[in-house]
Amino acid sequence: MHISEGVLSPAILGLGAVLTVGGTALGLRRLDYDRLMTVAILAAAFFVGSLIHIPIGPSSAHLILNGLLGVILGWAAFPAILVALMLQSVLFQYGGFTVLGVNAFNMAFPAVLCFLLLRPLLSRPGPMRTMGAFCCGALSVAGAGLLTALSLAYTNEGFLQAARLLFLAHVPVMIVEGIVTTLTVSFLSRVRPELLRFASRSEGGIRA
Amino acid sequence: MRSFFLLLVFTFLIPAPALAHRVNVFAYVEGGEIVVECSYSKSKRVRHGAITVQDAAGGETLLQGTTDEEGLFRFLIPDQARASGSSLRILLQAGEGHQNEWIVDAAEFMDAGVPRPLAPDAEAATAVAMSPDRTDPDAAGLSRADVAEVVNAVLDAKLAPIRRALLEQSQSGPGMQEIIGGIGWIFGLVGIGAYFKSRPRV
Repeated sequence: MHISEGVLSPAILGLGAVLTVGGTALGLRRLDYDRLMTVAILAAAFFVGSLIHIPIGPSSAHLILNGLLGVILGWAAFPAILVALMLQSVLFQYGGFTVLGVNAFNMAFPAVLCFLLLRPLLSRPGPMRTMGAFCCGALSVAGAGLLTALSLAYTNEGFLQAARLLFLAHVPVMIVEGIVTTLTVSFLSRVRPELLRFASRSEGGIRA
Repeated sequence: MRSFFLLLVFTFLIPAPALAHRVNVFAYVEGGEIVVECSYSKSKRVRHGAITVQDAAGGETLLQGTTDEEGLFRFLIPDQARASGSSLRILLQAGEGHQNEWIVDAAEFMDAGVPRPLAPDAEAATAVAMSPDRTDPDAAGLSRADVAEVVNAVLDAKLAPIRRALLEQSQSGPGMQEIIGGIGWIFGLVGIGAYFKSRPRV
């Protein structure tokens, strides 16, 4: 899912950078002091999540965990993912500096969108929340694949082929991430519901 | 709670081979050919990756091809590159936005493969002693070019494992240092953020 340096045209790189700056600004503005440590922990999880591989036949794909960040952080997923991707590009040479904007937007935006759309489901305890969390985890990965394929639409690879390959490679990742997100959300709603912004006050949450 | 996150972090720290974020491309001269090796990591070869060989200076495309099942691509050193003496840029496009490149320095292939004419002084010295037909071993032993060719071939064979070891070393996935360092960076940055966001105590 990390697009390499030198693949995309300057127009797309610029667009990605602008969108990421916007999302990050919004995320930072909405971020309050008490949640900084949560952001740090999840950014760290995202940073190392890419090292965990799921073997799929001859190929393999790695965890992305963007859905998990979206569910717990909301818009603050943007700065978290941006920082983690920047460190991945510097330390692991995944992606690259100029593609950072595009990569960050591709991974963060679907996560935030899923969170916003599925919040009604998530705010209801019980099976609805479980389902919402699973969908958030799975659909964020699918959305990231879709956006990556869209970014590649104007390269010689073309949208359809890239989308097909990315989708096939990421079906197992979607399932695994759905499960990871579900387990984490159910664990947190039992133990630390105040970490989940959508948890209601009756569950002990600070912010409804 | 804390132990849960610690567990989470440590689960992630179990080293796993890096496979799908970065493609590696590595090329070396073997005989008169340039061998390109393409991999996601040392175990995962890039099958059918598109290779473009360009003149590193001018940027014009000299030849194109795809890697085989082993992630290898071999091509003869282009005459054009030999003539102009410029380096070769080998570009690999592995699909899904994965791309990387490797430069083969001109010095690596200029004296490889096809026997070159001898240096003028050596030519003059051997011309007296030898018959013009240098490849005839009975006439005056081996010529300098013959020896050079044999030595080159043997050296290529002997150096192959070393090359491979260097390749694996330079392209192994991220190590523990980078991972722990990165996590440290994240917490450090957030620490700075926390400092600036903290409410001043009166």
